[in-house]
Amino acid sequence: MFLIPCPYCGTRDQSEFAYGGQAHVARPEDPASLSDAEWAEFVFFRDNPKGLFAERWNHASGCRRWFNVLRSTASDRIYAAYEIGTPPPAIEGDGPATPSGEVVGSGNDAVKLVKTADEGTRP
Amino acid sequence: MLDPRRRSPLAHRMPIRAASGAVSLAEWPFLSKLIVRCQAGRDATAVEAVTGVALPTTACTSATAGERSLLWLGPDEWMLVAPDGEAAALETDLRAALTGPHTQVVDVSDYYTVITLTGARGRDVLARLVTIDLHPRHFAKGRVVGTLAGAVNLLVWLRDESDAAGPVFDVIVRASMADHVWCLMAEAGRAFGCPAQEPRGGERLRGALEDVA
Repeated sequence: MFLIPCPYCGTRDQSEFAYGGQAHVARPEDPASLSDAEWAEFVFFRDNPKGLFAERWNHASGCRRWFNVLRSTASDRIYAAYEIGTPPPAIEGDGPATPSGEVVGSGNDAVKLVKTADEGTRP
Repeated sequence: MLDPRRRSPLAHRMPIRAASGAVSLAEWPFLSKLIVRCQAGRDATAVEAVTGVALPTTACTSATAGERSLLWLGPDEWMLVAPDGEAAALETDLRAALTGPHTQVVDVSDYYTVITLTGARGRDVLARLVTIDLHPRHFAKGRVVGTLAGAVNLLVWLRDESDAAGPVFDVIVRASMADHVWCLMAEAGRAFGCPAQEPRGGERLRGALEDVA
């Protein structure tokens, strides 16, 4: 469980929100001209990064508005919440990385790194 | 024309009052409620002309003039609260006044009912149900917040607050969920002296039987 900063209402508990999947997935201009593979790509295939991920959330129990959130899937740290239709803000890096370049966080148990001061700022 | 046979969703519940007066719970039935959707910049003057209340544009706030209030629900959505019997006229007038695109006026008086929670320990009762910060510094008079209590969506409105009477919360709930929320609040109030209460009908409070026996 974590807190999500709704851009309209302020920070609330995650239980008030509904998840909407990856953000900034543009619907094809002319779906009829796409091949089945291209259409399947749009309908079913989404990024699954470990680290920064732009996703849509709906404040279902509050103002009931959709908005975008920039979250690290490794640490659940939320870097920004911004309105639909605006581009994601530029974020530099996502905390310390392993020697292989992976973001440290939950699920990265194989490579335990010394916890840095940055850990303390996570929500 | 109001039907004289109408019955409020919590008609089978009697008001509950702790002996100390720290908490009391009552339904506020038949309040007129309308959902108003419009653009604040364009339609604020039209809404104020009809209702007499200035449109609150700050998130989670409300504005009151006389017996009418406008509650902020979203950046383009408000709930108008008015005394019993005014809904039909307000709906007609607002529809005539709001003619632009993306406007909507719906009478939801019968869809919601209001549970009024008063008393010095009102915040403590509510804090057992919701995750929002109810501290007076954060949740001041006039604040209105949509939130979740268990599985139920609530609109929590701090209508009034004074040193003498304490906070006056209005919890606006869907009619079908009203009895469930009433039971949740009554049970939360048991910790602050609310007596077990047998309903005039319907679902019994959990634990009420043991106390009576």
